[in-house]
Amino acid sequence: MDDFLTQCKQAVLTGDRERAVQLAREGLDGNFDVLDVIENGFSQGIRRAGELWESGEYFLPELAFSAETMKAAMEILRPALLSHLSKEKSKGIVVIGTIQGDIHDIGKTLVATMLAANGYRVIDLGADVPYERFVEEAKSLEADLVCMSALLTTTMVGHKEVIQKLKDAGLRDRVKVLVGGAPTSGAWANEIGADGYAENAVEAVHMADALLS
Amino acid sequence: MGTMLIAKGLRPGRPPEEWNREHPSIVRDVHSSYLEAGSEVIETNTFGGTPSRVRGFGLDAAAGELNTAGVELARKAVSEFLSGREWGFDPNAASGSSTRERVPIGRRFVAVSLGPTGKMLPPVGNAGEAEIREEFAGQLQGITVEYDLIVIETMYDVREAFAALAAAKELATAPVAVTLTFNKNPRGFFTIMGDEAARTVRRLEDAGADVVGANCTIASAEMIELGRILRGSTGLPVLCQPNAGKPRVEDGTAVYDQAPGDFARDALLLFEMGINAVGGCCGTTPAFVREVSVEMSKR
Repeated sequence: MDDFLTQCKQAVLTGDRERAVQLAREGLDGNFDVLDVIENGFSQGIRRAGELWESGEYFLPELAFSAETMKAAMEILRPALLSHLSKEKSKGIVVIGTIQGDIHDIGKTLVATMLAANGYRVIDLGADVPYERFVEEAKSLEADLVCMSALLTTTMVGHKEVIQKLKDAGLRDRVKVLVGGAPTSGAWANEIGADGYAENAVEAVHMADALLS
Repeated sequence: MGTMLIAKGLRPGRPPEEWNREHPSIVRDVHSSYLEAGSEVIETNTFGGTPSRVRGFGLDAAAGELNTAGVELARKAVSEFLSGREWGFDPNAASGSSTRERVPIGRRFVAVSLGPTGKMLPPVGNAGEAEIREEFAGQLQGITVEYDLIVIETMYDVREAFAALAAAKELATAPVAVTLTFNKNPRGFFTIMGDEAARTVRRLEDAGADVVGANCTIASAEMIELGRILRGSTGLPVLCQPNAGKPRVEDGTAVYDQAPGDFARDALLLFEMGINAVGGCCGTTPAFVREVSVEMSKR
């Protein structure tokens, strides 16, 4: 079992898409716990890729390969994840996206994956999400948590805009707002009236649990 | 240029190049300020002027017009600065000294700034190298007036730098400088795509660049470290343009905190190690150039 999870991690870490898809299929057939395969297998790979980015050994191409590989594995595992969640009550509905004007999505996608793997029903709006769309989707999906990412100092100001629009729509009290991304911080979250800030995907899960418990 | 235009009211969402048509006198005044502060080379307001970027702002086929206007404004600023001026910038006179050092004015140069297309090559995006080369070719073909230099800058992917260089060597009659933007990490200086500084400038030298170097992302202190690496890697002239420190966000805009004097002292260190040309990127203003001029006059 450990060996299987390690192989899942390695496939994502090395950007081996075909192998990851193969392993994901095995994960479905072999009656593994799908959450275990995601959190202790594939996600470990993307987390390690993030560490190697920090230490200057992985660059954008390597991250891109790992992210694509993770996505491919998640595509295979998604049906099992959804049926798993429908058996247990989901911990909450999460709307997540990268803010308008910003196309960076690797970190955001990882947060979405980790939240889904930890019992949340996650609707990932993608990147360059217009301010209004965060509000519309939060409303129509009756979201409990709105997560916003930004990687540029020029786009992160959009977090403030979305919070204002949530207030204008009378939704602010019905959702929790979590922000993240390199230029953001706890101070930023406080400044704009968000409910929290998370530095990475693991912290995002902890924050979500704390905010929605 | 960007820093100065933002100070004059440029907001995110519209391209600076549009001001070449909408607010030409403001653009020209920025050039004049830099010339008066001591800049010998001024860069045109064309950094984001590739045809697809200009179209992306709803300006359709205006790239040629905006790029040409950008070069013309710089040329006008230069000829206005030089006309009737036999003697050059005198920092001692500027600070109130009674003895005037008369320095012959020499020449001033217009450099066409070419920044990234914004299209990402695989595996991060799916643009093609030929497509990217076409963008730079299109931008250069649209410029119908003369210039002294091309500066391909803020490159973060050596493949895009090669594509721009190829287009420039084919179409331009001026020398071509290529500067990349490097991040410092525990293993050295690399672009976000993983191109290592020393190796990359050597490759660009082999590919025919006339000048190589680095700009943006890092501030002057780190640029000194990078400068040593670049100087030791190539025999070509080297150009370095650091930022005015690391930005922080205040009221929704980026603020750069480095003091001009601090920047200027680092600029002199860059010159002393053999860097041939120094300028300022994000956050720098004519005050920074003036401080560099003052420091230079002391030595």
